[in-house]
Amino acid sequence: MRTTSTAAVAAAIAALALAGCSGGSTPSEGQSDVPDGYVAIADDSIDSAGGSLQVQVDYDTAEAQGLDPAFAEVARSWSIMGLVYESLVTVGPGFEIQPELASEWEQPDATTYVFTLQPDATFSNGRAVTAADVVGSLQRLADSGSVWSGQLGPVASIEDTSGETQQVTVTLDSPYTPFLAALANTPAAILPMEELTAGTFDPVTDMLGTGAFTVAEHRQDESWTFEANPGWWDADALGIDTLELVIAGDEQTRLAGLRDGSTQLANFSNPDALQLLQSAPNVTAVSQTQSDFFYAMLNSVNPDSPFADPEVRQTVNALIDRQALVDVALAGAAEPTAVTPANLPDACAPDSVPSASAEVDADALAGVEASILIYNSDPALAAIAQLMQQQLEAAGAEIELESVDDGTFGERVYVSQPGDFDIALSWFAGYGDASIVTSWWNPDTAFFNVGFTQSHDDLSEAIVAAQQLEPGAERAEALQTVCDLADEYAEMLPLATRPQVVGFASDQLSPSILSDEGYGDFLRLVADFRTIGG
Amino acid sequence: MRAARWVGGRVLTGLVTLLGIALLVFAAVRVVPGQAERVLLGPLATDEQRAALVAELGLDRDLVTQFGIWMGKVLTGDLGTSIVSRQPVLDELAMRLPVTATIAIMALVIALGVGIPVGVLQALRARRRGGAVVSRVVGGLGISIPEFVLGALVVLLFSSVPLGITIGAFTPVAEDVGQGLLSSLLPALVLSVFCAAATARTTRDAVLGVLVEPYVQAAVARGETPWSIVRHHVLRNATIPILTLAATLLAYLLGGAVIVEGLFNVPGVGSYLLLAMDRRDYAVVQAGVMLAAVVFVATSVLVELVSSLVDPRVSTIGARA
Repeated sequence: MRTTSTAAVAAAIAALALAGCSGGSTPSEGQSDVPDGYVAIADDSIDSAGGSLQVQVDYDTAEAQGLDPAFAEVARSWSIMGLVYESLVTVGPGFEIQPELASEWEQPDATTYVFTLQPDATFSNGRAVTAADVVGSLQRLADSGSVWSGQLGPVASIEDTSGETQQVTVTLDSPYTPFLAALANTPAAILPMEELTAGTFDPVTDMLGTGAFTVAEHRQDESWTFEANPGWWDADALGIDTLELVIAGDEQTRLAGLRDGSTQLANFSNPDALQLLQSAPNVTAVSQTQSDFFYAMLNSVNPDSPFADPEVRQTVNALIDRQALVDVALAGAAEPTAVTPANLPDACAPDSVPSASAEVDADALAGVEASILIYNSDPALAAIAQLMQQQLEAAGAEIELESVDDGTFGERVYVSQPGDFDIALSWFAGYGDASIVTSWWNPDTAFFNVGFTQSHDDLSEAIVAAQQLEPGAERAEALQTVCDLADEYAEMLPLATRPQVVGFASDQLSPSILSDEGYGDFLRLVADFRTIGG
Repeated sequence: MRAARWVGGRVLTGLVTLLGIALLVFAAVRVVPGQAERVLLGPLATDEQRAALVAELGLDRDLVTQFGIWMGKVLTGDLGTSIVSRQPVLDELAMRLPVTATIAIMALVIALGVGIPVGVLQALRARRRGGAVVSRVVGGLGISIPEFVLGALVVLLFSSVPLGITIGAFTPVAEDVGQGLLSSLLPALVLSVFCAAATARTTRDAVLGVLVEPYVQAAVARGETPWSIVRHHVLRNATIPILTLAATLLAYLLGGAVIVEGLFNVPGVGSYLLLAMDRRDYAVVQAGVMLAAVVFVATSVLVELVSSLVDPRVSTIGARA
């Protein structure tokens, strides 16, 4: 009997291991009726009143300014804080700007935006949202010096222009097309300024917002428990009462949670998760296209770096086979990109930039010795680095790989002046407008890259010019100029979009998930989720 | 009097060791690249923001003063505040230590419960043909199989086949004893494999060493039963190396098993320290390392004391040394 049991367990392990390695791909079950702009859509006919939901996510928010959304810098902070806080606008299918805390807005001229607030909006303490809260929150963000303050654009004034309805008017010094997309991110959240000013609310340690949920409990790096906010202005639409976010750093734990049905939804930055979940019963895995993208930094500032020579940088840029990175390192779940994220309107085609058609000698990098620096918390970076190493060594270079912890990476890349590296890999959030991320190609305003990139007047002017144009052909042309110039200077090389896989237990949950996302927020539509069976 | 001096010497040695470790960890977190104000605030922070955080953390003072302040606080039970969670480090460790301790003790119990009998049997059957080969292969496999491989297989198995334990749904014993022990079982099992193999190997060697002693041969000549010989002569005299190993394993396990904690999503000390090191959360790293050092030193001193009780020659030899 003992022998039989042991053999059965061994056979089960072997079968499972083989199942996990099996190839092939089939369309996700139940996805045929999903409208454009979504990879999953909640079934409204499901009555899930009283439902609870467990979601496993890869990491917790851990910001220097605690829970203050104005200073939140990473995507997971935006997702988590976005459950409690709301901004004036949000992003819908196809990156369309949609109302959130502002029920509507007008743009009487190119530099003026007039927002009318939701009449029923209240903070979770019951106090009604006023225009003063909006003015105070946006002014606080603009004055904060935080990362996102720079993305708001040239804000000239933020005024309470309320009459019969609560209204706020924002005036810009000059046209800035990505303004609404910048407002749509969590750092532009509306805070209870009355309480904050009075000192009865500390945004660093507490969250008090207008959103769908309130925080019931938080254990740092372990879990969050959120409860439905009964005073939310759209509370009738909310499909779940309790949302538990479990921080599960190890991907295998999240895969296991979906397989055994103990969790209803989980995210993965590893595109292989699509295949790993393929054989799991009652699990649907979808790939959300993100505007986030991987990029390589070539150190042009450090005189010891071989990439101080622009010709070497251009050669490397031309040698990198981005499609191979997508196919091999990113399991085909991404796409090559130029400076403007490939999935955003008006973006440049990655094969339209000069390096895409440049011809390079077979031994163009002979004699070049360099290292590729990555941080060890993102497995995709290691795969990309290895492939880049092969591609550059094929042209005669000698390339070493260095994998370090996040702190060391930050010190060597962003803090050291000049940067202490040759090539470094990381990724940018791509946001919801093609021109927002281009700001990072101007080190005079981006700051973080002054240690490894140089300032170029023509590129900086092209960036500002493109950000002033309305979406359309003219802006696409202006953005093409940005892409071309950035490609020629070859200091920060866009590589490929960063995939995100979302898996959910289709027998327990009917979620809504956008097909494209600019802020890494796979829980953007959580209020629409429906739990099956309560 | 001699025994008291011997105990005092051991305790003093332990305290000096802890002071040395305190100096090392204090220096280490300040030497590694990536200082707290840079890692936590990111690349876009202004000089003013960095200066404010440096002042908040007390990093603008000279190193001697910083060390003095830290040691002073440690001695009064104040381990500082985490710059990430903004909670007292003592509270955070107090929450995680029982989790790690539960798994560590379970793993050790399993390891000793399996490893000692297996080791004794291996020693008693060492001369049988094939016995030595099998025991070495099994023991070598147990010692050499990486935790992340074994753990991943266990996670895959238990998440794919309903076997009554949910992966990742950890419940602290303090909240629910039954559920807590159940959710600790798999991580403890994975950790126990290496420990059991090491225990079996140590036990086997220790028992083999004792079996050739004249007093064992005398017992055989007196006609004592094999069980009586093992119980009264062999095990007692083979105890010290097993005890030393068990103490080392316990200290190792209490230090936190990062990989296993990650795989099973266990909120223990190991994963907490790893994250703290990544974020340059100095107060947490310093406190965590000191905690592990105290456990290790205290366990070592305790083992020496117990060993001296089991075999009085230990303290005699120690006192002469």
